[in-house]
Amino acid sequence: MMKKQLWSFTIVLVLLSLLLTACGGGAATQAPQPQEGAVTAAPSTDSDKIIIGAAFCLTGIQAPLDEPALRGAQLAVDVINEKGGVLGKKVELINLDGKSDPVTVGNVAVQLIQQGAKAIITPSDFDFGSPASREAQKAGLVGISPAASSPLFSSTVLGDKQFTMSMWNTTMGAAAAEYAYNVLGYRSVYVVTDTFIDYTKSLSRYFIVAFKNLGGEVMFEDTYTQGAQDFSAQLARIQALEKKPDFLYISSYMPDLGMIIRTIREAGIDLPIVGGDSYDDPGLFEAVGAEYGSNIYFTTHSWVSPDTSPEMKQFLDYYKAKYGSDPDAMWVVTGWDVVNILTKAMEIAGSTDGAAMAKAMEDTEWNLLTGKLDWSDAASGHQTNKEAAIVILTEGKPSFWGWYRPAVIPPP
Amino acid sequence: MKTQNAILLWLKSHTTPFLLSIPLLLLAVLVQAFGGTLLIRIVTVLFINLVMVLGLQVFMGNSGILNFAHIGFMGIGAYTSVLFSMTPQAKAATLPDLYPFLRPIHLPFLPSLLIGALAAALVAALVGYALMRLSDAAAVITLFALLVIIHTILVHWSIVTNGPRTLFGVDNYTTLGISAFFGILIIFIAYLFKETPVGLKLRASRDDRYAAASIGINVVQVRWAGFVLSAFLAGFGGGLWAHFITSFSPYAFYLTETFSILSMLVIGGTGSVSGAVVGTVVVTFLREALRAIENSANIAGLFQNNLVGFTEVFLSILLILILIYRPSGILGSREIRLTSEDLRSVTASSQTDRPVPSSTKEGKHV
Repeated sequence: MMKKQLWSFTIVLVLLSLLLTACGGGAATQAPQPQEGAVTAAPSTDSDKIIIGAAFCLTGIQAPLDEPALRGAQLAVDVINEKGGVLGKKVELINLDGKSDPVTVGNVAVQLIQQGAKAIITPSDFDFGSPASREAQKAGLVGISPAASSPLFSSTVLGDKQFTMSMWNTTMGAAAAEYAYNVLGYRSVYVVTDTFIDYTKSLSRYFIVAFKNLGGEVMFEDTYTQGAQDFSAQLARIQALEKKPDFLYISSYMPDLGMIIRTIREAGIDLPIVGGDSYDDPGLFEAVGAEYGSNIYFTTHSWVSPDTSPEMKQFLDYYKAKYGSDPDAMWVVTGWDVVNILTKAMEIAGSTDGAAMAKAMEDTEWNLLTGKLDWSDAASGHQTNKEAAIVILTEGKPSFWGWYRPAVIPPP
Repeated sequence: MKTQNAILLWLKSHTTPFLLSIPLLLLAVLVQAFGGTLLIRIVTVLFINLVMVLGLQVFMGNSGILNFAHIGFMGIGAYTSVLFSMTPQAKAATLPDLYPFLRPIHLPFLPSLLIGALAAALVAALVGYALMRLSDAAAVITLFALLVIIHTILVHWSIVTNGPRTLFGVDNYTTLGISAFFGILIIFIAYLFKETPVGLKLRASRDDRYAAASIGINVVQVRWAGFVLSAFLAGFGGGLWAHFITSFSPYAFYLTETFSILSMLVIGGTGSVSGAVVGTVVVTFLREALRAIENSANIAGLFQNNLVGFTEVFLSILLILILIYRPSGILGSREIRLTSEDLRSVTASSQTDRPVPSSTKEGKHV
């Protein structure tokens, strides 16, 4: 009996102490922290730094996209501070782990706003990113996602101060269609759509709409389901075609995408294969290898190489100086761009006011490491009119063709 | 006078729901009055999770069958309630292909919640009767299969769920007050169910289903009743959650959520309503406390690299420790309640200087 009571008592004690730390922790983080090397002894540190809050998910399913983006964002903040900051103040980036959980992401955004964040960077996905955007909108702040490509990530759904920096799937599909039709001169296509997730389904839909608008012929709309690990039925249908299409549009993603391409090439079909940003994966390049990795084209967000532009070279130099290696993922660049957009918007607006920043972001034509970008106004959804990077895979090696901005973007 | 005495007597032997709800009510009122936005959000979710965990306890705790399908019913409740509570304009934006007869329907929040819960209960009633004939591992695997089936249907029935895509445009109706009200109400429902004849029979069948059957208990029937009530509560919780988060996809109602709700119940103690409540509160506050520690450490830059995943790892270790020392959860199958001695000593405590005994006492085995 005594032992049992002791037990209950211990558990209660542990819980209480943890609870106290929780509250204490919360209070401590809300208190202003003295700026390192601050000369003046001003009581309020609010006035000498600008906080940008980020809810990047460092754990869970979202981490492979968000963790590199955070590195890029932190690098951008360091470089900006070295050059003297923004509006005469230092910039501080606070990231609280969103944990790939929509509820936590929302909580984190509220915490960041309480800590005085002037803008919120949300995770790169609509499901995980939108709760943070909603909280930013409620607080009258700009919220921006570095790479959420869903057309839902718009001012119509989330509010007039919410943006995504990524091209929507509409642009990604249309860029591939126009590039194939206008540049490569292809007129007919066989489409295979992975029906497992929305991303691949909507990408195919927009590609087909754009290709038909141009006057191209969609010979057949085939489907595949991620995880099936068997492409023989689709292969048989392609082989049975009397008239061969000019190219194949395959909207799927790794790991099955590698198997699909290998199956097609092993059967002796060397038609060009076109796809979206899910092809931008070193794992795919390895999976198809030199033997099967030729005549493949895809639209993606950026091309990370010193010869792309002087700005990219400078970014890579900064990156190497801070982290000691080259970026391991393209998402690093999206984090860098997003911080630069936010800080420049603050300078154009002359303040950190959410409405003024949103206006500045709408009115500016942005020249980014991830291509030229132009947002539509809030009424038409902050649609991202953005350049897509076209990358060509030859013998398993990717090379940059250039930027392509589609003339007509299908409505979401 | 006689009935009054009977009620008093009954209340004296059933203090559990009151003992559980009073601190929770206090928590809700205090947080509403003094808490910031963040604390209000955390406690709102705590009460929504409480509804889910209590619903799980109703079936799992009383029947002894591990129920993996629970979160599937949460999904059914969420999607159904949303179909009734959304404005026609919002439905047109997010569900363009919706069946014409569903398009103009626009009900207030509470009726929508109720319809969502009833839909979940209906599905459970239809599939449950056959499933309840199974026991042990077979039942667990079948219920897991049911979760997969419900999930697959949610993913592919694009007309009403928007398929794998996110459904958006749901109004934010679930406030702290509403979730606290229902969380506390359902404590009473879960407790009363346990004490009803059906609940007692179900518990008898859990302890020995052959013995129970031999004294005339229809095991399948009582299990079915528990399963349907449990699904009803899950559907209700799903509706509350949907109107809190306001945009979601079928992936929200799958394995991650299943394990999160399941762990709350297992840690608290499957066999009792008190266990469900304690588990939910403990896991929620542990998680938030660890997250606060992780975040403060990262902001203060205590470590060279960010402390990533500290919350998950530390929480898991704590859970393992709790389960090593308390294999049947913190409370096991005991309820927090006042015994008659406690009640007497409370009234008499002013005269004596002996300490008031702990309110946690071994529950009677029925």
